[in-house]
Amino acid sequence: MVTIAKEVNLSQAEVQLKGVVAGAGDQYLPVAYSVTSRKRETADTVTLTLKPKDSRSSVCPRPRPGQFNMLYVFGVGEIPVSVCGIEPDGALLHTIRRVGAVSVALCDSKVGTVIGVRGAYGVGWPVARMRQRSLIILAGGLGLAPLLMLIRHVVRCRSDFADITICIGARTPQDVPFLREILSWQRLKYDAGLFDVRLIVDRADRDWRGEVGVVTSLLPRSLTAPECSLALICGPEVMMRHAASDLVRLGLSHCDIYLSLERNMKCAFGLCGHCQLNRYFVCRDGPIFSFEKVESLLNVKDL
Amino acid sequence: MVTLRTIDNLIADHPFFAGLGSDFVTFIAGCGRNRYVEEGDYLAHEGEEANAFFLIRRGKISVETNVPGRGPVVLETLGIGDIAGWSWIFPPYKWAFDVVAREAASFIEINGLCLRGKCEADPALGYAVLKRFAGIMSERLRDTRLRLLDLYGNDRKRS
Repeated sequence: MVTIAKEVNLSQAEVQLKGVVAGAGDQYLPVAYSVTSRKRETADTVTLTLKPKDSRSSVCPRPRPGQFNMLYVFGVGEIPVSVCGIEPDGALLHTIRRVGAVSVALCDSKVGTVIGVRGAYGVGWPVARMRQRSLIILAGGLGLAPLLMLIRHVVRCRSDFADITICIGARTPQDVPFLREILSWQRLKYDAGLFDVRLIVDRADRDWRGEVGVVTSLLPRSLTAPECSLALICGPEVMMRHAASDLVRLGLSHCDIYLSLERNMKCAFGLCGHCQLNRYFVCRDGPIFSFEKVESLLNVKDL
Repeated sequence: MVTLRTIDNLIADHPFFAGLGSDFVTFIAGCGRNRYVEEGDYLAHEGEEANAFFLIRRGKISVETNVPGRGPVVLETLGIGDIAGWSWIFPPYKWAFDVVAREAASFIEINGLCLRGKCEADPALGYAVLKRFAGIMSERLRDTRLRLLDLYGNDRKRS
């Protein structure tokens, strides 16, 4: 009896899965984009500008801050890469670090190289919840890339928000991505509200005039109105766990802290299960999650 | 009109001593003095007698050590609201690192010898002071451990 029941369940699941897979076919098809410029950010990081290969080809939907695209290097493989900007003409900006075969191939791609793009995927940063709130934005290493579009939006619409604190950490002064833009933010002056952009590196010699230490040490010591604050964090998961705990101690509610998680994303639309995190698929339900949703999961080893 | 702020006021307002009773603040203020240093001035030299700690009010200082062949290496920078120095609490009372002003800085210098005497005489004061130092030590130890992980290092092998 048990065996029969299992068979029935399995066949139902198979039927469901076949339906989903049949509907997913088009979603696996990449759109051909050309690399139109390549800018070296640091020794191992490159920003690529991607435009549709020709004017007749289709384009991917315009991504929202925090979303990602799947970038396909033909003959090598496909990886998820967050969108760090959109040019006025709609060109996509992706910053990639040399880590494995696909990212190295992307970093080495020359102007004119054709790359497959699928997207945009995932849940972006909670832009609608940010209005009129004080924002604490914390980025570690290349975690700044998925926050870049968001910070540019905040700078552009400064009056929509209360106090803004941006804390950026990097390994050494040579490893700071988007340094010129960070310095330009530090020079910004606004009539009302705090706008504080701080940069810190893990290690440096005396030539470095900035701060040295871990990025979480830049968090404010106290908050006047934690109930009106929202925190947005992206970086190594260990750093995010500690930062989120510090923010809870400062009085922020778990539901007002957002983290960008990274897992092994393959299909990017919640089908293959590679990025499963308990009841969530990081590609579909994330990569941005509230701390309320994932706090307990982050403490489970190897999940 | 300029309001003169006493050492008591400055200590009571410093985050390190937040919530400390006014009696204790007065006790500690008796060991304190206001100081100002220019960029590049040393507040402490590694290996020398440690008989003070600093409550930073303005500016930025760094904790440094000299590495042969590399020169001075900045271990950590500290700014407004931070404190520097706990070598005065434990024997042999020697500074473990250099403390240097990265920019002009104002701070309250607390005489460690004076405060140690008061803490020995009044365990409640000693506990209140040590509890605060333990908090800072625990925080900086965690931060150091996080930096030891070299989280931004490119040692992951993925796609």
